[in-house]
Amino acid sequence: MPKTDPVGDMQMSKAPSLLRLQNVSKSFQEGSRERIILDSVSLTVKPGEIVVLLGKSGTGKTTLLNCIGGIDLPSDGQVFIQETNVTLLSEQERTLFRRNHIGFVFQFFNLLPTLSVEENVLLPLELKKGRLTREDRGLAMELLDSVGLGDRLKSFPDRLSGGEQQRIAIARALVHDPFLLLADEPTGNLDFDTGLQILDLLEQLSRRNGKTLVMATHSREAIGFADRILTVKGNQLIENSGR
Amino acid sequence: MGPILWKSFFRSLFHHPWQLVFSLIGVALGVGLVVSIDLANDSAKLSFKLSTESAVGRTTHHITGSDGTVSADLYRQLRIEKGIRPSAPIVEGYASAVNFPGYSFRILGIDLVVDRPFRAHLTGMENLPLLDLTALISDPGTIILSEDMATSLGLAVGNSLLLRVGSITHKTEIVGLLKPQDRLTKLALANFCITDIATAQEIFHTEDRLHRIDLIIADDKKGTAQLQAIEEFLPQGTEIIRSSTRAEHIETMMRAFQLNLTALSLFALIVGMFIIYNAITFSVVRRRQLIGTLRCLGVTRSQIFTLILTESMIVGIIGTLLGLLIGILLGKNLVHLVSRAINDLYFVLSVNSLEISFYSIFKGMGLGLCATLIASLGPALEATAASPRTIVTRSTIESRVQKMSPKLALSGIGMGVLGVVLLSVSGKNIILSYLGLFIIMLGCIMVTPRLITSIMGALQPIALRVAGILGSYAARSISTNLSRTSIAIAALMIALASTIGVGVMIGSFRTSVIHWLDTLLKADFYVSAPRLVATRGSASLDEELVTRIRAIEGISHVGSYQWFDIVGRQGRTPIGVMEVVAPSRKNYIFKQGNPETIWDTFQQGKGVLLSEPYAFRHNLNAGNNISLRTESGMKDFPVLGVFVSYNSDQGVVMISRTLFKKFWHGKGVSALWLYAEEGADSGAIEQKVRNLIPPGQTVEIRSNKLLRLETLRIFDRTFAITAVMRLLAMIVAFIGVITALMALQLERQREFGILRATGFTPYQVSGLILVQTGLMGVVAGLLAIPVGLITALVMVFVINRRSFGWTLQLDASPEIFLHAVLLAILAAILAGVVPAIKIAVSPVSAALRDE
Repeated sequence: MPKTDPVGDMQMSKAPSLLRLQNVSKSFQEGSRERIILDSVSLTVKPGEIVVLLGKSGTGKTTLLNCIGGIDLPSDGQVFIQETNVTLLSEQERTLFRRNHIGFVFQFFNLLPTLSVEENVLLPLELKKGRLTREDRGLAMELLDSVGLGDRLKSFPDRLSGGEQQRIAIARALVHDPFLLLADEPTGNLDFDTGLQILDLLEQLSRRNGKTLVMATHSREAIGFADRILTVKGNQLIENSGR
Repeated sequence: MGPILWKSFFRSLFHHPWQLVFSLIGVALGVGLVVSIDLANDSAKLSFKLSTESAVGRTTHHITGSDGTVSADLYRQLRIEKGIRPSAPIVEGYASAVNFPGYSFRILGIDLVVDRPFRAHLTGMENLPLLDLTALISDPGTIILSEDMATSLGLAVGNSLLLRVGSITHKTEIVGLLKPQDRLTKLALANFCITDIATAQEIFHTEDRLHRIDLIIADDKKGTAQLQAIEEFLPQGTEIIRSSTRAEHIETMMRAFQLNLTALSLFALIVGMFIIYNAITFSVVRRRQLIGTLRCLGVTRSQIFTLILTESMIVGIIGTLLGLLIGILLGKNLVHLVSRAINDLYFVLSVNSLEISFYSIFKGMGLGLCATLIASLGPALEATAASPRTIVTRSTIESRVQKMSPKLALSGIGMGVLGVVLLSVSGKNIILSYLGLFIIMLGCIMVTPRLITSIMGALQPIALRVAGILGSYAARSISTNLSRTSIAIAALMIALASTIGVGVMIGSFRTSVIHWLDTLLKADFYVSAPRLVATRGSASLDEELVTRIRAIEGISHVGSYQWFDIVGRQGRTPIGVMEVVAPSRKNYIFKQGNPETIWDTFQQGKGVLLSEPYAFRHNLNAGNNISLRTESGMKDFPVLGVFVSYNSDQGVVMISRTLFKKFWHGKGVSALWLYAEEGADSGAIEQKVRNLIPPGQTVEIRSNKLLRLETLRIFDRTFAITAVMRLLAMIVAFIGVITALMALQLERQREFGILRATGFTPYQVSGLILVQTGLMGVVAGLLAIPVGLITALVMVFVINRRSFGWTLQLDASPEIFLHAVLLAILAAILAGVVPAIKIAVSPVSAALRDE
């Protein structure tokens, strides 16, 4: 296994990749037996690419995203993001890396119920910068306008519909200017039309801001927005043809 | 950390106000109880200290005799022949105010001419006009009171005040009022009554004797030489001691009593800690989604830890402040119970108000905050230790607890063994004994989760057979929610066990006292002078009255008793002078010594008897020698036997009248016991005794049944504070369990919503909740029985013995255990009522949404 510097500029990747998975495996212990979810999966994603991970429930899409985002560690293999070997980072370093460079969009939105719309969006910025400036607030406002919710700044999540909550979640995922956007079933909890709107919004904002997006979904409609389509099946990642 | 992150966390506190209220109740009640006992204890101590300091003034040493008196001649010789100045004679004691029941005064008889250097704060001219002082010297029976006390009794200068010492009432006249300027002096002088030494001698019937001679001796070479000269001059049987020695001895007397009260209040704080732990764990579990999301967004573990601890400390601070308020309010009531118990057990103490010391307040704050911190550390660490992925899954916590429970149980057994070892090696140290008990209890708590799983595993098939899937589900969900149910059950179990322990201890004590009284009180009548301290009758009966009673026809035997103290450098030795008559001999239960031969040797003055607590405290046994200060110096006396006595925890050295006459000075008796001749009319004898009492004298005449009843009444009174503490600890436990179980059920609203959605009727779901909480109550109650028994055994045979020196008969009345189990079930069912009603009245959709 090549030596890597976990946080610094790295010799590992000479190709212009933003994300690189190298023989990533993940298994869980279930009682006395080991359940393999991912088995030696490799992947390279270029900057600005939109990658859609398809697959049935339970095939390992969320696990893969968790390994990419540093929420979970692979049992084996390595994950590089912008030349940083995430798997070699300590828990604290992974947290800080996530804070600064990754944006998450969840199936169940996971907005903080105790914060207003504006505060939810500002939180990642606050975590990243420590203190918020007027420009930061302006940026949040701009993003909220772009998701069509500029007039709901002071509302709390429980007052919003599912689609509105997911739009806020997208704004939150982008506000701190991450390298990488990870979306886990972003339309899984929405009706068809709203789901399409969300996919559209995700694509638009990712492309406009030059973000790399990796989206796990079982929605076939997402295919239309993807640069690359991958399917998680039988513990493996299978590349499909692009659009 | 930025403000938005703080907001994200803290706003949820107010989204669940009942959870906040539960946490506050936990902290507030725990702290409140500890502070109230601390303040009550401190007020009693402060009152005693100030009163003693006021009486002592600038005195550095005093001279006292072996029977607590010295001859007035000795004072004259010292002052005039030896030129020892400053020196001042003192006659002092306590008297009760006849017209004001419950009020007693500390009478300080001083020589106003020579006293000024000692107690200028009492007799200084700034305090009193010259006229008052002149009246005090020239007119016998005149006194000076503090202005505050006089006002509160509605008395003024010129009014008379009837003071009773022993059986005799004295009429005194108020000629002046002390007007202390500052609060502490006011407090110190509240029950002071200053009089001229001649009046005091008359009141206390000391004739030409003084209680002590006060001296001011410089702490330098000259002073040392003076001290040596005085010591050489003093006749045998008198001693010069530092004035602080006496106060130290009295404070030592109260120590065990106060320590036990503090320990009881700490039980309440421990239960309070469970409530906090439960509330914080609950708040973490409830917000696992929020914490998980924050972690995904890049909030670090240490930030989550800080957020949780800060939140709990805010609750801790508010709860502690509320607790301090509760403590002060409760303390105002408890101080009377504490001072009454001290009055009954040890010495006269007048505590008129609760003194709020900053030390107690700080201690209470420290305890409240530390308890909150300790209770919150576990949940905070749990929340931060897990990865962002696992925080989101509740099952992770449960499976970890399930996996941990056998190891925890083993560690618990280890703790139990450690506790027992600590108890066996702690000697007479009460604090270590309590620590041993706490460690054993902690061990029991650690075994609880494993026991719950086993009990529920056994109950599940029965529940399935009796109530179908619903019943099985109710039993199983207690095991599957072990992280939450075990805390609630353990809290309830410990609270109940401690109440069982205290209950059995009081019950055992009472049974032992009843047995002792039944054996001891065999005479037909008991005649005594009214006493200020219930367990000590130092006041004397009128000598002429005693002589006339002895001569009454129809009385076969008359026994007598007299108390006095030997106060010296070694401390205070309570002495009981007993005149034993033939029928009384078999009334004593001996722990050591031969009852067949003991009495003859005792009557001949060839040795002394020790009560059990005295022998225990001083490591003495039959056959040893005890050294006592007599009027002819220190003398050794053989210990003939050790007898059972629950009269005083300080114990007593019993000597015969023969021995007393030979080595000590003094006369009079405090109590007589009369045996009627066979066939004599006891009613007529009682009437004859009553007829002999001259006007102005108060004498108590009681049959053995009445004396037994009164002794038990005093016993119950001295334990009133303990019983109140037990009750309060039970209330804390009751509230704690209700809050813990209610929180648990409210958290499961969504689960119940699903049951409703799948076809369960509101009644079925409500029934399920009540069955679950009821089952938890049953388990807690059942577990509390063995743990309570262990607690009771430790309290009866270890802590009580080490605190007071008594051997008690264990009386583990089944009622105490039954009450505990019923209380557990009642608390548990009550805890289920609110969630049951909530689920019954709320729409299914609302319950499903509830998260």
